Amino acid sequence: MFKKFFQFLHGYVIIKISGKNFERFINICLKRNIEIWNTNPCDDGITLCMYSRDFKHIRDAAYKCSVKIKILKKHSFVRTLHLYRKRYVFLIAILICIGLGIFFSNHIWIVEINGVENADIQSISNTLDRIGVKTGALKNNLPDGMEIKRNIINDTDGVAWAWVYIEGVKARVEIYEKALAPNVIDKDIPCDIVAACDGVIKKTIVKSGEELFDAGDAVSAGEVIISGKVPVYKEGNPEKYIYVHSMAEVQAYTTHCKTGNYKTYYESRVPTGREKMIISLETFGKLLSPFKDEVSYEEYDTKENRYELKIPFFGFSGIALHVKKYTEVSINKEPLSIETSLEFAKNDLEAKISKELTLGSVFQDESIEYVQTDNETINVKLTMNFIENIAITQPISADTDKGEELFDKQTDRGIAGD
Amino acid sequence: MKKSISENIADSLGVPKDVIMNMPKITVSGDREVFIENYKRLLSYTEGKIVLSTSMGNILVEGENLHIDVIRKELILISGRFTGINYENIKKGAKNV
Repeated sequence: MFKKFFQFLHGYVIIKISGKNFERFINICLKRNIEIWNTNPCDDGITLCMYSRDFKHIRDAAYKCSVKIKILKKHSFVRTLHLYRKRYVFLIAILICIGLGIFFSNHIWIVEINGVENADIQSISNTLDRIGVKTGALKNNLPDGMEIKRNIINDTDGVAWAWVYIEGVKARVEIYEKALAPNVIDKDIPCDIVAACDGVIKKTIVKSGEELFDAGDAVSAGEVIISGKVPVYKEGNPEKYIYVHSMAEVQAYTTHCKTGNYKTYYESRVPTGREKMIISLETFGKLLSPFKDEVSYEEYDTKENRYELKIPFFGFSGIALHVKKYTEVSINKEPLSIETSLEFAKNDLEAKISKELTLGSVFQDESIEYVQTDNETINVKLTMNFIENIAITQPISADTDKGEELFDKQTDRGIAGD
Repeated sequence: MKKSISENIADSLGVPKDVIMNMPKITVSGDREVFIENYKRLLSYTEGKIVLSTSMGNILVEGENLHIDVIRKELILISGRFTGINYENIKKGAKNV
């Protein structure tokens, strides 16, 4: 492409050489370092291309070889300019196009924020807007990279690093989030330990607090297992209590149960071969779709692709093509055996139960039951038994016992309970 | 077969023979493109046949819709659909490639 452009810039001619000795003519040209390209044989000779400046030097070679030379076409930038010199409207239109190109390429039209998972993307977007990194902003007026970084980090929690890359008319904001440190347990807050779920206690290891249940006792979810209110006995004095931050590990036998309805067939989506493509043009952040985004297919899959027009040494031009492809599919029902359906159901229910478990749970056994609700559906119930740590700390409510000295002290400091 | 002095030098030094002996070097891409280096002159050029003169004889390129894409002093790129590339007028018998 570049070669063709430079050939056009320098100017070249397409000539026809007729005569018997045109091969000799080519050899002479090559010996004189005259560049020749696109040679094609025709009826009584050949056609070829050469630079206009070289054309002036071939007269004697043509005479020597007794060949006739005829110019078929001339291509040159200067010649084209000369031809269009009086087409004022065309020239004005070209100038307007160039002007618009320069205008649009000097602005930011798309702001892309990458790398955000937990941070508030709206807050980042607002900060960018405030400091001037927004759609329509002039590239030259953009704030310094360090300033953008400082503003984003100060305004948004959880952002460790940020930077803006200008790629053509796109501002790509890269965000790196902080890896949050684990919560530090504040041992000054008095807490009970409650059961995370129903279970039968197997073993309790108490580090602080008053144990309320023994091994073999059944507890229900939310019940206090280890109390943070610890009695203090002193002979001759009335019974007093101190409030502590309970710490314990409570191993319990727990049962988790989940049910769900599952199909006894598998739906396969087979393409019928009919496809429809909806093409829309994105120009400087605005989507222009000349076609209606509707399909007459009953069942279909969609696939969307975005092709950005990038200019060498500049980047994204602000123009992108959106291609949305609809593929019609027919849904085939393939019957499954009860065993296979149960296997599917079991995997799904196991995944649901695993979300409820505490860390370090040990699987014991499981049982699965099903009831056929209709010809195509079964109701599956999965029961799984575990040994798990069901201890959850829960701050002691402030109004439980206001008469106690230590507790009063703690509430005065504003740290006890919620 | 008796080797020439330049061939012996090329063999002993491990230098490509086309460099030392000025032999033509032909690169063929399927039946669509032929790239020939170290040729001397273009002898004949038609749609079905191109003949090139080289230091060791003539090279005959035969095919359909042949045309020269690039031609320089020492290299030529021919495209089209080839049916054969032959050596002509070689002193010690013609060879087929």
